[in-house]
Amino acid sequence: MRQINRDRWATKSGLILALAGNAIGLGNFLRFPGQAAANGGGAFMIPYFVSLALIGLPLMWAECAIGRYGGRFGHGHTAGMLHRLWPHPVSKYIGVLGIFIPFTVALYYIPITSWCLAFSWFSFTGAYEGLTTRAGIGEFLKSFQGWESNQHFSGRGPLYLFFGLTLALNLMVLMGGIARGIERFSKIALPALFAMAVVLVIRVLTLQPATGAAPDQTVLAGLGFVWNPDLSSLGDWKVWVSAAGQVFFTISVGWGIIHTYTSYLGPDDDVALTGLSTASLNEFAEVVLGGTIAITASVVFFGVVATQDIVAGGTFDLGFQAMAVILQQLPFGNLMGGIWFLLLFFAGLTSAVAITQPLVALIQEGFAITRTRAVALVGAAVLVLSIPALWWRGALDELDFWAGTLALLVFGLAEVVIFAWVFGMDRGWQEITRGAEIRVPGILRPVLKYVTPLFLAVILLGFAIQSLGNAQWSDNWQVWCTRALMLAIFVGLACMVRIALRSDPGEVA
Amino acid sequence: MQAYGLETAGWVFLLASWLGISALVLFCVRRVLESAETQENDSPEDPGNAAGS
Repeated sequence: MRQINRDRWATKSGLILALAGNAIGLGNFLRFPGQAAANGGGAFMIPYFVSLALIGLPLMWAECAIGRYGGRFGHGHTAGMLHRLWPHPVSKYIGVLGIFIPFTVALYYIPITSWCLAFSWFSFTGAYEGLTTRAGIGEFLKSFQGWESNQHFSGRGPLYLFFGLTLALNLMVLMGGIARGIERFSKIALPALFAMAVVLVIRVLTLQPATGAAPDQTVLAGLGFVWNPDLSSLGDWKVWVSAAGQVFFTISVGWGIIHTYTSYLGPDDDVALTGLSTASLNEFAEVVLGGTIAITASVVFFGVVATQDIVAGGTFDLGFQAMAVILQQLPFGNLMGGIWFLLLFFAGLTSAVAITQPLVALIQEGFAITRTRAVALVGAAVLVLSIPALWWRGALDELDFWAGTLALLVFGLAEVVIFAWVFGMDRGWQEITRGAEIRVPGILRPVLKYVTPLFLAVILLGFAIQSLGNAQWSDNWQVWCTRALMLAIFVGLACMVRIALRSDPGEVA
Repeated sequence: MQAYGLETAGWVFLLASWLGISALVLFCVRRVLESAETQENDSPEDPGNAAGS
């Protein structure tokens, strides 16, 4: 068997920070508090932590083990890995999902990340200073995105400038490779992200109600909005599905990224402590930091009723409009706003780097070309294929629904079935526990085999029922073109995988 | 939630979640640092070639 050399992580802490950087995204700071508030407040944490134990951690450990196992054979992408677990022609096409999902999400995630960078710049420079209503900031955002031409922006130049800058930063990190690129970047970005979040948490918790504010406009009312428990919600199955969905999405399983990152481990390196550390850092960012900043600030400034409207309006309303209004009213408001959007930018960029790496790995390993060229090719593809997300109305929602939600659930379910049932739990358990630096509870075996797939199937079913209930026929040609684009991407990736896996890459030296 | 303030039960859930997660993070940080120390002692002339090995 041919021996091949692969890049490796230099340190365990570097890998953990890179994995945490992948998991910690905009959803930690914007989606979680809204979900908690809408699903029973503090009581939401019961199904949330149960889901973490039954879905999040088992899948995290399984993905780490699959990645390290696939890395032994030179595979940095899930198509090759699943084919090793289950040597059947179908498995590699299931594995294509683990390349399709991150790449397709990158097509809208990198533009959104670039908006965070742009808004950070706008806040530091006072470009939207004086816009003290959500509607005013909304107009500013729309004109920046090119949907309206007004006194703020008359063209899409700034939009493209910040998009180009974000993509260039992303590619620079990837070109550095695993240890010198992604690991070094994560060791700077993650501590910076946590430091910025802590500054904002302290600032929010020391906010004073404005003169003449209503009695509900206090920090404690904000914390109460998220944390006061409604125990009757525990009997509602939708709350359990929401909690399981939140855990599944926040911990970033089902993407194919954890597999790719852990494929650069040695065959006997630990995955148990790595997975647990990643999950706990993500939970700290989400529950402790994310659960405190945006909603609490919103309640202090707008009150409980208006915050309910903002939360119902979605994460963009909360993150871009409400927070931009709130923070500029504080002392050093432009600085605080700049830090908030820079925090979101760092959270976005660490994830953006991660979601572009699986395709880089496929091109680099499958077609034996240099990393620099592989990164350049992926960069060019993102540049061209992001245009629909920037230009076509409805494209962003379509990409998010099919690739960023539905495909994730399908892939998560498929991989756990292949790992626990086809590869087999005996061998799977050996992979999870080999080199483990903590004791992995034995209860995980039956959980991973029976409970996790069942739980995922219920979430998928619940999501399908909800989506079908809301489904409407679209007459928008841009929506159909986006769907065709996704299909073309999947078929293109499947062809690439077919060619790449014709020759056995051998075992890693 | 309609309550204007943080109720006792809200405090319980908030503190239990924060303290539980913080304790888990501290446990992991301690184990990772110990692991790095062991790795350094095991291979003083081959600094950090593979994570965790």
